[in-house]
Amino acid sequence: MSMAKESRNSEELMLADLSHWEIGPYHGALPGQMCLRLTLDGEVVVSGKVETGFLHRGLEKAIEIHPWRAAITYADHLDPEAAVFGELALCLAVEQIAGYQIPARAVAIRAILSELSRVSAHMLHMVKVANSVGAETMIHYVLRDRERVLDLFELLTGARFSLSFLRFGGVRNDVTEGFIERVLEACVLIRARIKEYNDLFTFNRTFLKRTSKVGVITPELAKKTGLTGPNARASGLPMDVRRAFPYLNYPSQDFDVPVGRGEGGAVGDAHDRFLVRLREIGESLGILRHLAESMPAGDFLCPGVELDAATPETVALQIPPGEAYARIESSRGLLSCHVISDGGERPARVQFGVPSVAALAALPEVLKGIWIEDLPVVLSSLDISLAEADR
Amino acid sequence: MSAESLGFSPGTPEWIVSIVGLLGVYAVVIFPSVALMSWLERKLIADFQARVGPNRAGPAGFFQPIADLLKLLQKDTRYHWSWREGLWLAVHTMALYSTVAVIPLGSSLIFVNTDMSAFLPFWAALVLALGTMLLGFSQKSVNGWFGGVRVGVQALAGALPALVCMLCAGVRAGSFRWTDLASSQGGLPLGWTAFSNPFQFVAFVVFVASGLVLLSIAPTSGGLSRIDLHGGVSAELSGRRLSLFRLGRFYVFFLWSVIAVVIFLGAWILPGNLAEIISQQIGPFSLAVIELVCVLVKAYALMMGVVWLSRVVPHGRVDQITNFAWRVLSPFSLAALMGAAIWAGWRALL
Amino acid sequence: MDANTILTKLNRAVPGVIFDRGRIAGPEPVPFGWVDGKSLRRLVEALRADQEISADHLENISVAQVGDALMVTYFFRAAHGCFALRATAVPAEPNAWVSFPTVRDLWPMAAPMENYSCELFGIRFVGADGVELEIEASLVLKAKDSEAGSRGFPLRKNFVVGGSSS
Repeated sequence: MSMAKESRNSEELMLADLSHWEIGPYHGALPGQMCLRLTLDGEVVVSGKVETGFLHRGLEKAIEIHPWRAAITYADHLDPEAAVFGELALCLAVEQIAGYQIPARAVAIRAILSELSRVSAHMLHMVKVANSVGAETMIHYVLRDRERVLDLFELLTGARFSLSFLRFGGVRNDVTEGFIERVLEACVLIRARIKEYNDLFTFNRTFLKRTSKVGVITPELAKKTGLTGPNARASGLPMDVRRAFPYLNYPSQDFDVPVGRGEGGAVGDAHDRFLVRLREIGESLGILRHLAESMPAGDFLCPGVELDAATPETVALQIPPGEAYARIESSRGLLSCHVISDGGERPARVQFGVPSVAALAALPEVLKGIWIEDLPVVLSSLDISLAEADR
Repeated sequence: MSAESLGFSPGTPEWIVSIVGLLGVYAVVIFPSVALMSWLERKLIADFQARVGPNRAGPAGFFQPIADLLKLLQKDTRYHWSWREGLWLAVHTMALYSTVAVIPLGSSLIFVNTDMSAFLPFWAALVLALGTMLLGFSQKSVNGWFGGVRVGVQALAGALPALVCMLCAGVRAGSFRWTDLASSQGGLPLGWTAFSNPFQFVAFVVFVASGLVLLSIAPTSGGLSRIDLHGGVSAELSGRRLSLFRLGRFYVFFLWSVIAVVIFLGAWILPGNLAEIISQQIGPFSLAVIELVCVLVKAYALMMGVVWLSRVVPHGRVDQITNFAWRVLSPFSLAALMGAAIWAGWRALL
Repeated sequence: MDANTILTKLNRAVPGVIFDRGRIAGPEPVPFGWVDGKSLRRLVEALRADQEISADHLENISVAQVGDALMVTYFFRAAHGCFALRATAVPAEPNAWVSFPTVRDLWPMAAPMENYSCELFGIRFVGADGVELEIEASLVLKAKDSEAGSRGFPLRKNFVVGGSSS
């Protein structure tokens, strides 16, 4: 609440009546396993501390003690809600060390997968925001359409989550029959549905009241905490890795980078973060259509690279010594992967730089002055993945 | 309706008739209403939201409410259960069911019909809010505490406009007796109080909206918020206690809808002199049933409208809701009262 | 100003601090400079103060163990390109803490990355005043008191993964 900051001075805040509330590690309002230590003045949050680490699975260590090929499966688990981005960052880095030339068709399949993941992750974000304000119908509508994207994953990879479809040097399989047509169909459908969501929800008066000027992240705060991705773009920082440091075939794609304009009330509020993601879905659909229509022919795997056959005779993959650093735009922001190889059968070190830690770092500042009922709105609008942050 | 026509022998003490009547209303009207409405709500809302809804228990999932009740009844509750919590759950429940005696369900299905009848459910609603608030406080949990506070402030904010709107209806009928409130209206929509003049329509809308605020019914259910408070007041309740609480929540919603129907939406009045014909041709018992159905159908429709709205519209924050009640509903209710009074006075002069 | 010019300029600002250069491959290759650990703090202060370079964004802090040494790489994003700085420190014993200068006072976004490295690699970050920073213990650090935690820092090479999950 802005009132707490503006019209009351510190004495009027009745500091004697401050109370404490510790939420987590399991609570419906939280985006995952984390702990929030709140100091409250009535229902208004005075300050909040964040504790994370509950979901630490030792991913980076696990990658180090397993053969190269297994690394993809672990990278896939970096962020289960948008699995392909972890794989992609790892593959891009490893392929630089190994010097693989990726065929154009594999690049296009990877780009299709990342844009589909972005659409599905952003739709999940819309579901979370709708849930946090109690708009049930919106939840079911968006989930219904998200199933279409998951169907496409299943058609291509055989899995709806945790795809493990990328390989060093390309992808595991060529596209399935009918996949391209269905991608085009889904694009048409989802574009029509975005309009529907807009009419139902985006500028609904009650929704605006719940989200506008709530959880504002100023550009200064975004810069300070190193926020990237849709959260930073909602605050007016237009950096998009697909533009700034192009990878895959993004240079040949035509898309806009939506930036928060404060249509809800203030630049960088929860409504802007919702709106930026809604618009990014539209942009991703445009990219998907272009990719599907201009699908190049050819191989889906770099020549000379063996796919993993799960037999005892399979020769362990060896990557020459070297190091590489890859950046991609995941659905949550800049995801970087630093790979060091010593020429052995296992990676010497794989490190991920993840966007969610910045959102977590901004949290204590954002929580100041909001109401308890705003807590789920702010947390869901930041789209934090604890799996990614804790690794 | 006389006691004799219900099969009591002449000379049966009145208190026996009352108790049997209350239990009858409870068993025949309220329990089946809970089951029917919860099934209808889940089925219709599922349809609106492009999903299937209950479909396993019985045809089209019709027996789902019964299955749910049986499940809740045999569920273990948590062990520590303070006497305070029990006390306030009891107060909460008594406040609810004391109103069964005053709930008007037809020209003959009225137990208490005094000059001030219309206010009795209203006071019961306030006691209920207090009971809910203290139930929350007694749970020694953050969720219960905040839930209780929210229920309390909403009850205060919603009480004034609700009361003023009730006065509007009284101004038109000239009385707060259930039978007078009903008989001042016609059998067709244009004869209903809500549509008799613009001020009464405003009063009707404000009455329904402020009832939602007063009783913390979705979409203004901050005190029972599922997302940030895990259910608020009901966060620590489970099993039988939860089913008792939920039954109470439903009943209060039902009660408010029935009152809205009786004072604004034509009550049980049938078009023309249909009531007389039925009473003479078929019998007073059939008339009572038809009137009951008439009230229930209107109340169900009103409830469905509110439920539909609450599922689509995002839920308000508690300060926004109380703000809305004080700054929007209250002035509108006062304006409606003035308008309704002038309108009634003008009519009297003519 | 490209990344190599930035490194040259930095070397001039704090003479002789960058003793070697390299290049990390990638879709966008990142030039980096090897920095003497003792002068790292002076270098980053000079870097932060330089308006022309405007390295506002510390993108990533990556720690890796190479042989005995812990190698810390700072990835910066500046107005005209990306570059990295790299320094090493060797722990006295395999399971001993090592010290590194903190940069979170210059780039607040470094705090979560430093915390992560602290817990999993056993690096104590030291403030400009020479005082070790208090790291708020998350679960991993708390676990250091347990049997599994007593085996060392999880991401160091000598840490053996094993034991039961119960």
